[in-house]
Amino acid sequence: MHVDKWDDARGDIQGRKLKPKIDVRECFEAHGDFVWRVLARAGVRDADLKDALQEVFIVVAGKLDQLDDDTKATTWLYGIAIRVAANQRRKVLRKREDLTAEHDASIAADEAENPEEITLRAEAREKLAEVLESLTPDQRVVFEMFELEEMTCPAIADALGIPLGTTYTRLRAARAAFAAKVAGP
Amino acid sequence: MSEMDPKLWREDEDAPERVRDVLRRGFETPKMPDAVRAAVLGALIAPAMPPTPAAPPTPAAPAAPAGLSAGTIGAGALVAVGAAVLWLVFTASPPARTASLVDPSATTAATTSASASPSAVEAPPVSITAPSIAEPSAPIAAPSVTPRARTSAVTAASSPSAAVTADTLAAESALIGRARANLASNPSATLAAVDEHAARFVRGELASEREYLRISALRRLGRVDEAKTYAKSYLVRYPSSPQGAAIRAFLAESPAP
Repeated sequence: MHVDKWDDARGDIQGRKLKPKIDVRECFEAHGDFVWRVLARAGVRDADLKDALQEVFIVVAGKLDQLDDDTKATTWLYGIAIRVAANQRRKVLRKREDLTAEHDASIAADEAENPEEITLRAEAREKLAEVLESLTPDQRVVFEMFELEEMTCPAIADALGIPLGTTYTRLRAARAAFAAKVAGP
Repeated sequence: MSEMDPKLWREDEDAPERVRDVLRRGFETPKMPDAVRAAVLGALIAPAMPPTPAAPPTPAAPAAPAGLSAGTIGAGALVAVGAAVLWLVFTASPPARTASLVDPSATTAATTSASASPSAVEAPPVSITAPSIAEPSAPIAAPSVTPRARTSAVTAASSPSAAVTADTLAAESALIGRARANLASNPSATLAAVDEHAARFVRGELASEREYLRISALRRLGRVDEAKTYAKSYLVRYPSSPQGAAIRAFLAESPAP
């Protein structure tokens, strides 16, 4: 599973220079919306988004002191978010085998929106999540920030702390992988 | 060859049809309801602290207060007004705007360091079509319409969650205002405000203004290479921006290394 690499990437940060402690609420206020969108695009259903979001920031609260100068908050949060999302998705997929469509019906109570539309949107997100999951974590974060967060490549390079050339390379590789997955069986 | 940002794939006619379809349909995510924001913030407070009075965690009902559609219309109007006001501010101060890009005091260290990135390109290009700056892909109507605004305009009917709250716009405007106010005296503070805006409202209504301010601030700080890198991406992302001419002039000023 690709997502496990995120753990490796952060495995050795203990013992290095630590940032002054950031408040988890500040972190939420600054990055909550980003994490929310990442979770949604990683296939978390509307009804589960709040729980997933909360789970991410509970993890964050427990690990904030591990965030050091060399780790970019965005990269770090993104890694946590897609792991939480993958777990959620697996849970839902398992549950759906028992419950079939009941889950979707409960979402429809949400707003005065056509349930069919909600289901369609959920399916579209599920499809996107499936394709995104086929990318490596490095490719995926660049792809998502460029195509879906609409950041420019220089801004992504900044946010991730990687060279601009690497950003372009990863975007290109991500697009190739994305297209291959979409075209595939 | 120095690389540039490609067009957004879902807006690129050369992208595979099915790819565009997956991206377009999966692109719209629901906006975080205020009730969720309040509930999560509430849960993140240490138990010792007093509960926030304004944030009762509502159990099942997400933030869809009665009269949502009226609120949506109101917010839409507010966005338009906000954009118009901002546009006025922008156009009303041409000296400052021009100065920020044509400021000669910053040119010194410009040509020396080819700094990090463009040379660090690794692999040969695969099959991504290079964008041509001069050809705007889609007509953009209003001066400060951002990609976010474009998409929400298209999907507003089917996706009420895309509505922008007045609070959000006010917070955005405050940050952008702070960025602008500091540009002449303290461009580093402009950059800080710009970064904060980028973190909180990456696809915000004022994203194009933000990126313009970023370029101006970098320019003023003498970080010309970075400014130009951002400038090139800006032209691809916001091909019809009214600031496009100023940016092109800046890029033409001294040829990129």
